[in-house]
Amino acid sequence: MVSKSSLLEERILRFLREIDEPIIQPEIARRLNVSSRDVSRILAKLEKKGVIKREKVIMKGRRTFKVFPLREAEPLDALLECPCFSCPYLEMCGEKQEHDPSTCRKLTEWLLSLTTKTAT
Amino acid sequence: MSEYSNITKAVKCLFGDIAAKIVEVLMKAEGELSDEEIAKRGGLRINDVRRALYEMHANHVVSYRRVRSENSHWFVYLWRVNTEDIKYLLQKRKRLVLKVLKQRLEYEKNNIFFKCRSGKCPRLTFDEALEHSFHCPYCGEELEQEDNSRLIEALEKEIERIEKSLERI
Repeated sequence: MVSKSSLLEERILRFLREIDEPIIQPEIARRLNVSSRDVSRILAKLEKKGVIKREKVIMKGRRTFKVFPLREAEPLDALLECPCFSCPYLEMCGEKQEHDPSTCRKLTEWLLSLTTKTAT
Repeated sequence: MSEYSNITKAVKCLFGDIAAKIVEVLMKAEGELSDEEIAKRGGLRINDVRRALYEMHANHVVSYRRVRSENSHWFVYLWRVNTEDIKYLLQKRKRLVLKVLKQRLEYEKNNIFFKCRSGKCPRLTFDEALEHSFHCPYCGEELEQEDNSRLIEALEKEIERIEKSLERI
């Protein structure tokens, strides 16, 4: 179900993308007209997700955060070429496991194709 | 490359073509759609749409809101895409791939490999080659040491690329 907090999370994110520059946490609450408690909680969540970065600052003798929206990632095409991304066994893959990256045929084939690419 | 195409590509890679089509339809609509509407707009079968939606919902890629239909009084589920959660999922996936590639790199660096001249048979580690007196167990040809420096180089490049992309969203 879509919760109230996820709607607010989207609103805050949209706002941060629009301004695209560092901003003080209480300023977000003021400009969006929401409680600073909600903003603080959602920003902590977004920081955990890696969408924003926060830095501790002191404003008028009170501790608060400066919020830095992070930029979008590079195109994914090149990264997604690696067969591991779409591999259904990725979470079980590991050394001396049933699915072992050292002996994985798909990974070897892909790596060999990379070496021929760089050679040509 | 837009954020939009990045997301559909990621979904395609993780959940398949039908899921990618659903996400594309939902993102174009810029709002909520029922499963029937998604199937109609995307030209998909309703059962496939539902199956893909449930799978994506389990991974928090999509979420729904339940409303009662004014005409039939039945519940209608309106679906939407959680773009931020897709990115989070992708970050998690990247970390796992990174771990796997690092393990492979260690293996490549810590072993010497042997291969027969035919190039068609699988390669062997030093211990395996010794066990077979340096003759290919598949075709019987003599084994030669393989130079895996290019493979190590390719792996290192890939690891660096993933590490860089992890620094951002």
